[in-house]
Amino acid sequence: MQHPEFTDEELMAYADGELAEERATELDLALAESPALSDRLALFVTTRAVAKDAWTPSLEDPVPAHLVEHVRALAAETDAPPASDDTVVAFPKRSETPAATPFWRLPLAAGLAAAIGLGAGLGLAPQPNTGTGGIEIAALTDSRIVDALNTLPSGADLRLDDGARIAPIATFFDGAQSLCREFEFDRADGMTVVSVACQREGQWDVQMAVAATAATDTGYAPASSLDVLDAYLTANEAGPPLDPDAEAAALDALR
Amino acid sequence: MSDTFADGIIALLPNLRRFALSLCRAPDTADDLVQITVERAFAARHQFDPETRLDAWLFRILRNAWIDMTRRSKTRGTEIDIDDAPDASTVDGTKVTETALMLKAAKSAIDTLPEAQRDVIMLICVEEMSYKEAAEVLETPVGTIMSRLSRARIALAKKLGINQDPARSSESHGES
Repeated sequence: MQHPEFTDEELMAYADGELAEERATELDLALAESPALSDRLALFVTTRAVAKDAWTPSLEDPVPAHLVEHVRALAAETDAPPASDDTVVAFPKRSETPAATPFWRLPLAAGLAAAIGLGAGLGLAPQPNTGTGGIEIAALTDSRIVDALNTLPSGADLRLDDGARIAPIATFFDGAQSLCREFEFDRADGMTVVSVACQREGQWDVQMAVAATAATDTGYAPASSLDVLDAYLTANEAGPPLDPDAEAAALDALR
Repeated sequence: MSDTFADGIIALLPNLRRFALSLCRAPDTADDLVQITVERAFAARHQFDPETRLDAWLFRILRNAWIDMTRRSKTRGTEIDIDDAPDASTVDGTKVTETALMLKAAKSAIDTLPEAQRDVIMLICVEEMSYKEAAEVLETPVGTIMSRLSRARIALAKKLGINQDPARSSESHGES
């Protein structure tokens, strides 16, 4: 499926958290439907990460002492700053967070769960467009999907009666200590969607969903959609995957 | 005794050296460039607005110092546009998977980008500035920054074998 309406620059801006919110919402929905679009997004997500990683070790290079001394000497020569001089005021540390808001922090549009086929594809639409045009987080209400996320251990998969398949991949806590599950969902029409849902106020909310290029023979989503997933996990400070016992305990606690 | 302006500059010295290195690629020259930058920064410290990002302000001084330096010394290498030399640093045309190799390859691939493209990669992808902040550092319109950055990343992906043959999207407007 082609999405000529999204330019490279728009996909890049989305990856960099700079796409206007309305447009980003449209792209959220389109991404869940189009593997080609997910692949193009992955290019921009990956190149940013690669460039950053490539240059990160350079920050560890020791700064020559003469440069630091030079700054101190210049500071001593120039006018001392007024009054506050003897008060130790920490220089505002550069913000730990990037100036731009990464795309995955944008609220997901109403109907995202429907778009990825977790709702409409199964005839169980979780509050699709209410007609008000308001933005809602896409909550999962399909009881079979919810049950699978509540009970199915990672690594297992469940074939649904209409031919769709759900396979939890991992369970983890994100930076906000919400319980999250990464899972793949093979729609009845054969498209694989890689998704993350987290517990918010007692229900599973879809946090991200990208369509994967046609599933391989092994049935697993190919790399480019996983690049987007990795970037999402990093940005949300995803903890390590829980081991089977911890996972079982965390899922039990939901009941 | 504390001078927040000086402390801020000292804290940013690693970032300034990194950006300088990406511009001139020679560690000695990079340190000279950083030294010139801090001198100019102190000479102009009354012009700095503490409400704005110190790093963006310093990077702008540094880049202007680099332009002055190259204008004087004329030692700047010939820029090769990536489109003119597509195979300059493609790694055997195969996908580099091993992480360390990948990072090394990525660094040299960034090195071979035209300077204007390298600048936007460094400021936005590496230093995590917004498009607007980078536009101010480079004194270039945001639209131009975006088209450069997009082309730089597509070129980088091509060199590194990332997402081979991504679907071509509609052509974005050219660089002005």
